[in-house]
Amino acid sequence: MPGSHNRLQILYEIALSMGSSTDLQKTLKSALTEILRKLNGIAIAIFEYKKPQAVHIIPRRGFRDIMSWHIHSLGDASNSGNEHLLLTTRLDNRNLYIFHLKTYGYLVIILNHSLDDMLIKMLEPVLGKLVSSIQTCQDHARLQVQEQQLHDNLVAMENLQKVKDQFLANMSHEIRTPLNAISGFTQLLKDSPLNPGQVDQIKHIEQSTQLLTDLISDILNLTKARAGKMALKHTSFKLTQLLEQCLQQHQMIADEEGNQLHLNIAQDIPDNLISDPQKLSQILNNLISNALKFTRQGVVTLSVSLVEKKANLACLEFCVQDNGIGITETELQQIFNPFSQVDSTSTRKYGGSGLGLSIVTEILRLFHAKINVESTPGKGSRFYFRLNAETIPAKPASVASLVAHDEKSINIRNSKILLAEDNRTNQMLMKAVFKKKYQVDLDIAGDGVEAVAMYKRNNYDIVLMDINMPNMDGVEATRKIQNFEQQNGKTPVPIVAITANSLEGDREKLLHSGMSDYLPKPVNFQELHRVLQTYLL
Amino acid sequence: MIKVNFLPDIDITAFQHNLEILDSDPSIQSICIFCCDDNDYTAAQLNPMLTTCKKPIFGGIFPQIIYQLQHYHQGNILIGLPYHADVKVIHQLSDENIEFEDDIDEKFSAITDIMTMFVFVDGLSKSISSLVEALFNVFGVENNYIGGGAGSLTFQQKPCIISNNGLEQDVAVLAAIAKPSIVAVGHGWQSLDANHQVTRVNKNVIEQIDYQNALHLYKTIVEPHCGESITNRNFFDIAKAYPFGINKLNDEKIVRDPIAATTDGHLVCVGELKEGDSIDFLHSDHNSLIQAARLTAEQTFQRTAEYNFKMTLFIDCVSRALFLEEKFRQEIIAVYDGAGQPDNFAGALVLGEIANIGQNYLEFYNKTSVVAKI
Repeated sequence: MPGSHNRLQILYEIALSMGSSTDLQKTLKSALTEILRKLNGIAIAIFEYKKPQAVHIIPRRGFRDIMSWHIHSLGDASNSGNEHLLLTTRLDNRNLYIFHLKTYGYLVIILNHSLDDMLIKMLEPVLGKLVSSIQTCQDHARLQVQEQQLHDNLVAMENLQKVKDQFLANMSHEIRTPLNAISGFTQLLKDSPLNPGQVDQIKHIEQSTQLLTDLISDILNLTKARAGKMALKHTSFKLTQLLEQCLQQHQMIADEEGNQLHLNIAQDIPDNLISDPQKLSQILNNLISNALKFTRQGVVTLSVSLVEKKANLACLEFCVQDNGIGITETELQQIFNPFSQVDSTSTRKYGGSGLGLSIVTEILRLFHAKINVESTPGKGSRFYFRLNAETIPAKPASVASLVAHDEKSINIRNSKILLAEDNRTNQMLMKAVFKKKYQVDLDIAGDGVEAVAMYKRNNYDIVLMDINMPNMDGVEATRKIQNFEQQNGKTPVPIVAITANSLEGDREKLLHSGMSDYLPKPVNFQELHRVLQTYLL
Repeated sequence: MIKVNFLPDIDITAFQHNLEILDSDPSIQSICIFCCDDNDYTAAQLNPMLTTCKKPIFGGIFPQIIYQLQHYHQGNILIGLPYHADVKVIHQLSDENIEFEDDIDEKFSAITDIMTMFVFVDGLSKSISSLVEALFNVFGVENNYIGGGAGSLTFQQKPCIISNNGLEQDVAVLAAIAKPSIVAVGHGWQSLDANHQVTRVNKNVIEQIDYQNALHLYKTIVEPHCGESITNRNFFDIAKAYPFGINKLNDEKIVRDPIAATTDGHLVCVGELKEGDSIDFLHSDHNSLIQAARLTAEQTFQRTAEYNFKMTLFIDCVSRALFLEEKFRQEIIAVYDGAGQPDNFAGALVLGEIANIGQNYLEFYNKTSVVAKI
């Protein structure tokens, strides 16, 4: 049946023209053009239900009104019982057909010849495919809108996060800068002749300053952790050394309240590990600090035991136990929430920001671990967690000392030291510190430009470089000094960053940019002593 | 009154002189120009006279021109029309990213009384079918279309379209007039082997037919019939007798002329095809072609009484002339006779024809005769 074959072929070719694009107008143009061409029509249009204007019409001129009129009068003029074909009529010497595009609308076609019944019936599945193509295009368009909205929301959130990060960085810097002065001058005052009452007052100032510094660090660390900006940095370390340093850091505070600090390391513990020692120290320090806070005349024990060892992977359980005030069941539900404390009454006997355990939780999340607690009110608490760490046979590098070196006095009187610092108060502080402790007159530059100029004119043994300075920052000044040294064959001089930029990654960035060492503000004078000891002796 | 000036030689001065005469003739309102490729005219020679014409001009440089009962490889025909033509040029005819519809719609937005549109395109541009489709998508069957592809049988693209812009390539010139016309189209090619499918195509280059390499299948079907082995070298000579026909409803066929085979076995055609197109392999004999041309002309003659037409235009495919060879003059005579032996009878041999049949969908044809009364 040649006629049948021809019809099939024509309809196949029409069907092929559909579904190759997800753009609605392209799809309609391609499909309607092909229908018109293959059926040898002279005009075609597609209408949506209840919309008087054609979604697409070919040609642009000539038949728009007549088609719209027929669509509009469809309800009255339908003269076909066939649901697929809704209307067939004569227009002068032409034939107009209106087909029902089920769930979408209508297809109108005008030809100079008539379509036979067989072809009309065979058009039905083809027009069904057209409707599917249209719906696919509409779905695609909706998805694109949603995708764009999601993308816009994501960009807005990222921008907001950037703003928050920048705010945090600024706040950190702005708060630490005056804190540096308070802390520094307080330390200087401590070293001057004071009566007992003044000594006590200074001690309170010092403690308050330390609390404020710790609070700022806690808030920043928690915010970073919650924003997903904290990451583990694996390195090798000796576990025993890390644990001893943690306890050593708290010894003074323990002594003040008559508490004892004990360390309990199981015999079979592998000592040489690969993990993130800084984060581990942070967790243990927070737990020990917490334990000491809620214990008087008691014992705080830090213990480590081996849970399991397979090949070079060890599962260790860390535990901080105290015999302090303990925690009730109800309070246990809240203690890991930020700013929540066991005692939130106005007396606030125990002080603290209430962020320590939240920070512990966030850091442990990085290790894919969680904190557990058992407690009995009046008897004490036991905080414990398990971590996996890689064991190594080789002797690793020692943990960078987290505790200040022994403050043996050092003679650096003949050293020539350049301080680049734009803040007047901090300039005064450092000048006073160096004069009093080391009998050294500092050379002071007020910004990076001056620092570079002074460096070129003099021979310095060490440069203490603030980072955030006007005109030229510390990183740029460091680069220029090092270029000068290279070009002039000079021995490189240690440049130590002194900065209130104390967020995660700041230290690494500064060391990577050429700095020899890093002192965060507020400057800890023991750390300063360590640096001077390291680089000038 | 239409004035037809035939210049059998290529003297550029004579061309200029005749153009100026028509340009200054108050009874003439627009000028249609057919030149021969073998005149070797350049843009540098023609542009100074074309761009200074005061009247709208349109036309092209074609492989050959037809005047009265002869066809010529050299010479010019200048047709002075007593009615105004709105002439617009469409550029970048090979750029597939261009949407011609919007350009055409915008250029003709103020012109609403179009009854006949002359369409001459650079026959070697890559998007002729897209232009033709765009024309129909804008105007539909509001008007008749008469036209074809200009250019050279060397198949090297060069400036070949004439307008008030000068001589340009890769463009189309559209001249719209508010006068009726009669157009008839016919070809005479018959189906040799039917119901094949274009399964991979890149615009006008067929890569696969029936999922086979195009040249391989073409050889399979044509070689037994023509008795010769087809190579890339002799492809054009053989293929001029064996075009494709794109099938439409009612058994109408749009002829597609394969003119070259690539080293990959792909077939280069004059005009585009679409993936999925059903095609037949066509063939004919000289007499059938000539007879078809006559019948086409007769269709126009039968309707001559509708209007006082002043001229008969014969736009014929150059490949029909190449196929008919010395018999091509018989085709010209057949059309002349069929059209009622008109006083003014002229035209051109073109690279592809543009016309609509009895107010159906506009197509770009190959190997087809178009006869028009204007």
